[in-house]
Amino acid sequence: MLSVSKIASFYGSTQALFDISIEINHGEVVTLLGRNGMGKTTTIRSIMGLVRPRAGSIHFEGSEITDWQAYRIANAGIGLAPEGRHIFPNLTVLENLIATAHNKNGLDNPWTVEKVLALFPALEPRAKIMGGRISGGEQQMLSIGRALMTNPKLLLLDEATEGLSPLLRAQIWESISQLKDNRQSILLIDKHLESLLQIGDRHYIVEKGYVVWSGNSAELNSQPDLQRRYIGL
Amino acid sequence: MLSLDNLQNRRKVLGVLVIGLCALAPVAANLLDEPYYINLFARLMIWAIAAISLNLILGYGGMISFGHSLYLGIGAYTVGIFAYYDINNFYIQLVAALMAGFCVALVFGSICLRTRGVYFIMITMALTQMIYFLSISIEEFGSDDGLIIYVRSELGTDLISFDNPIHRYYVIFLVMIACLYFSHRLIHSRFGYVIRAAKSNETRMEVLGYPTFRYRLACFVIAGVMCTVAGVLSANVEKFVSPDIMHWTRSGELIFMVVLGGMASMMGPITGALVFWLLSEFFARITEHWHLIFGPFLILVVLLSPRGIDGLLALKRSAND
Repeated sequence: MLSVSKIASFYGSTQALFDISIEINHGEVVTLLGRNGMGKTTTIRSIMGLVRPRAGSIHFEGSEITDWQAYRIANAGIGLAPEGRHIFPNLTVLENLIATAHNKNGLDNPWTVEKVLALFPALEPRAKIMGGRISGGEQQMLSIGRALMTNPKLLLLDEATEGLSPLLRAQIWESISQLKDNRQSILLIDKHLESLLQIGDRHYIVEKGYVVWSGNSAELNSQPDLQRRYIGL
Repeated sequence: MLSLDNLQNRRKVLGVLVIGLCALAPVAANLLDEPYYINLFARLMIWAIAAISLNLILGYGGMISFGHSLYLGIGAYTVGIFAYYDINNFYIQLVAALMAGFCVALVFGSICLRTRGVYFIMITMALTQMIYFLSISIEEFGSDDGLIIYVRSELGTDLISFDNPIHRYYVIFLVMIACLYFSHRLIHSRFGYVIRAAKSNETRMEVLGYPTFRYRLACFVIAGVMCTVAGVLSANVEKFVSPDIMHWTRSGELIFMVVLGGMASMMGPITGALVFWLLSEFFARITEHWHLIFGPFLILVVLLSPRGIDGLLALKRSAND
């Protein structure tokens, strides 16, 4: 579905990614692991066309999207719930969902406002509240819901549970599990390894702009040294 | 604590008062035997239409255009130039004005919207001043003396005539209401949500699959065309077109009307235009140096309530709470 091959990305003259290669198949949940500043978010920004890789290539559903503009990549079927949420504060919760809704890929069973509110029931009573006036947890749910309203074939979740209380985190993980059960392909970044090991099918560890390890949950679970060395646990 | 619904009710009350005042102004003017007020309110509503159109791009889209009065000039000059060549049919003049406004907004928008912030402000001002200087250089159409219109637009019916001040007034009133309704529907449509979301975070909207440039350009063109209609009406009220209508300071006044009424509020532009014109009229009667009073007054309003009169409604809510 998504194939990132040996990409190198820069911020100005500073190289952030040196050699990143990842593969995601249909219905898979894949995670990017690593300490802060190692290149996980830059990898996602490169996939979304927000940072243009200077080397390597990115293919999605058979098309090379390396040089595509962000809106084209989104319309091809990649949805992003970004780090920091970036809710539109001047729109209500409902308007945030409606504003972004489209089904450019003609999915048979598209996401609707009702389905998103069923996935995140906490949003329903907040539907008419301005996006900037809801709690951090609700904003995170709205951010994921907003990305789902674009009916993505692949969902990118960057720090989906960052800064949330354990209760809210549990709700978000539960929702992500439901998405996985519905065969939603997901690329996930988060700091909570325990949850990632449960939900992720495969994992990549990113260190200083390189993919230094990849494998499944059982393999990662059996290597505490690896976790200590690269994830800081 | 008052709820959001109560704030909405305050807005509705203000809206009804403002619209009611505009609707009944000719009746009051006749009762007071002050026909001057009919034309004053007609002018006020024309500026309100221009302000409603500016609010679309400034209030909802975050595009600070210092060139919006250009479209007033395009509408007014189209009527003036057609009248100069004895083509007085209103519908021909209107279609020509709309096409001219559309084309200019499309071209200028395509250029301006590639810039952001202060560059956008400067380029809208520069392009408008370019057309302003073009208009004062054409002697055939009055140069900087302006263009006198000897015959108002003909509506092709004996029932309504622009020569009748009451008829003219209510045509302008209905156009203002239509623009207000259209603006309301547009802002509460998917298109309006995209424009408002792009104002908040354009990159995020692109990442969600929306080519925001196209949406912003469409909004820019819609606002330009709506303002052109105000220009067409202005020419029929004044029977005169001056290049000054396109000067950047006029665009500044339009911005002030929107800010005074409350950006991104539906009734804000009309309220702003009403307060702006009535106060300038009031201060002008006190002293010929009325700008010295009016300027600091406007600055004070903006400092006390950055969200304009609409913001004062919210302040009043807090005070009552």
